[in-house]
Amino acid sequence: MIFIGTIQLVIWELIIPAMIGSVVLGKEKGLNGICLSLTAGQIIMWAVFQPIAVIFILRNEAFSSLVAAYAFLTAAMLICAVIAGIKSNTFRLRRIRLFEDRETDRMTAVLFLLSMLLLALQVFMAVFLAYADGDDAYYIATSTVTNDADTMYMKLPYTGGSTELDVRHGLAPFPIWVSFLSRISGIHTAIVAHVAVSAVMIIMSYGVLFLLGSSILKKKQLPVFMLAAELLILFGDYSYYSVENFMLARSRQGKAALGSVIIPFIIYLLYRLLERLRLSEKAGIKEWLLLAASVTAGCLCTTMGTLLVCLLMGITGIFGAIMYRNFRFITFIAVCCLPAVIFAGMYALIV
Amino acid sequence: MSEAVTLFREYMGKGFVMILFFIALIYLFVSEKNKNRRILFVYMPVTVLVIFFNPFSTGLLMRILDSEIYYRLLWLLPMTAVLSYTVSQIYIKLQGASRALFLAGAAAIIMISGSFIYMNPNYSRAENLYHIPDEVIEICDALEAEDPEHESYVAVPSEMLQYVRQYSGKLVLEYGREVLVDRWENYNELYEAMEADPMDAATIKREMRKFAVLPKDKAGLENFTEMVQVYESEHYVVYVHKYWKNYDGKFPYTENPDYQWW
Repeated sequence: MIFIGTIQLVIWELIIPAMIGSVVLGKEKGLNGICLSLTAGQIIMWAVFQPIAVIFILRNEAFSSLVAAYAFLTAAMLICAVIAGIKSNTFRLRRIRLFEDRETDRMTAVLFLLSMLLLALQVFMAVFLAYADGDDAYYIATSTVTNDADTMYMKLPYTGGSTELDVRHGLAPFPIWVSFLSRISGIHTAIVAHVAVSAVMIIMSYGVLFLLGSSILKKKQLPVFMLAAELLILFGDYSYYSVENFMLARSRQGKAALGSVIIPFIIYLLYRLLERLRLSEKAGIKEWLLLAASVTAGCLCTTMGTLLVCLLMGITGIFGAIMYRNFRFITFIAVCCLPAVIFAGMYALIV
Repeated sequence: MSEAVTLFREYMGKGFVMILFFIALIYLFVSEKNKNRRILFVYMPVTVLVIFFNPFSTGLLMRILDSEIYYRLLWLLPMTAVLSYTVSQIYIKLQGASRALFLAGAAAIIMISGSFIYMNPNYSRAENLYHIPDEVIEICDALEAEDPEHESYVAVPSEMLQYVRQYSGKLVLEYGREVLVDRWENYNELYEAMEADPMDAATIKREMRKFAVLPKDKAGLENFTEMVQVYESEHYVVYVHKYWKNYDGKFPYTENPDYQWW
């Protein structure tokens, strides 16, 4: 049972996101392409999950109905992605080389290997060490009771008593996504959250850092960048509130996904869009849609995500518009913020 | 403003990593030529800090957000990316052995400035894949088996509070994790009686609805002798209210059918 469940989780957390995310691939190859398709695919899946889940929650529908609807939509997205991938020959099997050129010196290779070993260590620790965090009593309990009672936000997670619909938390239903993974795999919610989600979030966080690093640095610098980032994260327990602490210790919580996956990924996308401005290239619709999807995914993680992503994009958009005297840029950024504005508006009206 | 300063102090902990971040910001402000990296790694973080400390925006944002989570605005500071980028920029400017020396020095500074996450006392070896103590799982399974069809009320000691509901959706706690957080000011008479030393048996017996999980090593356990024990683990004993009536109206744990408690 656990073996089949694990395969299901690998399919839903790695293979399906990577296939769906392959639609955004451009020139990215090798490890870069894998990181981008995995992260972008997961973010697209979250962005689709968010509005559907909120509608089902507000309509007081059963959790099973949400599972069926979302599974159907994911299947549809997957079919579209496969068709697009076959047409564009994206799925052609290629040998993945860590370094595309032969100039890579021994030092760079050693540093890269070291950074991969450190990543493996962190994933290992996420599986075999338990971090006792009081907030799990809310978030994971919400996931567990959703799965057990087949209702969403109608039970008090701390105690289990019945309550009226908790709209505030229902607008950022990351725990319901964890319940979805649990239901679809048949593995207990606590295992899915503490082990599977934690491990995948850590991998995705480093994937985003790798994408950012590879877009701003020369190849020789990339392993140094990754190694420094890993050390900063491993030694990032300087306070209980640091994003590094959330990333490693509380990676199964939505707020950790916001801080260590969504915000860095938006920074990466903004950098790509700014580079297009600098090189006077036109940004493709896929890039803007991916940015809008990231904003929507930010709303799934925590209600505060609406504000944080808008602030990040607003500040960057204003600087970009001023420095390049291009006010279309800020207009497009504002359009991408619309999902967050809608969810923030719902929050203000309902809560 | 003062609240923002307090939150910032709490966020930066010892402060060394934040100092490194500020040094990196200054370095990039002086040396970075690429406009876009300047926007994302210098101007954006500085603007976030200005917003964070500005009394007008602080007042407004703290009204919108809970002041308790206002610190999360600091998550917009790309500290890891900025510091790693700075390290890799300095690295590439060096040649030969000085590169290795610089890397070793940078690694040492990062390690000394920060705090190793796996040394955090909240970490422990996972007893199972649930990341929930084995004994909690054992007790939850036993209580669920007592009445598999229905939800059961249970009072547990504080150390079990955060785990029970992660594992079981069928067990309803008499009080939740909110009683542990002082600033939330949630008083619960049964919880106070459970945590008292010795345990306040009279209150527990009066207030509990079905099950009570009591630590074996706690004083006051001898006052529960008339109760029915349904389970015993290594460190805990579980009692059921003997006049608890099940959903069929029967008293499964006692011979006294006259008691009219519900």
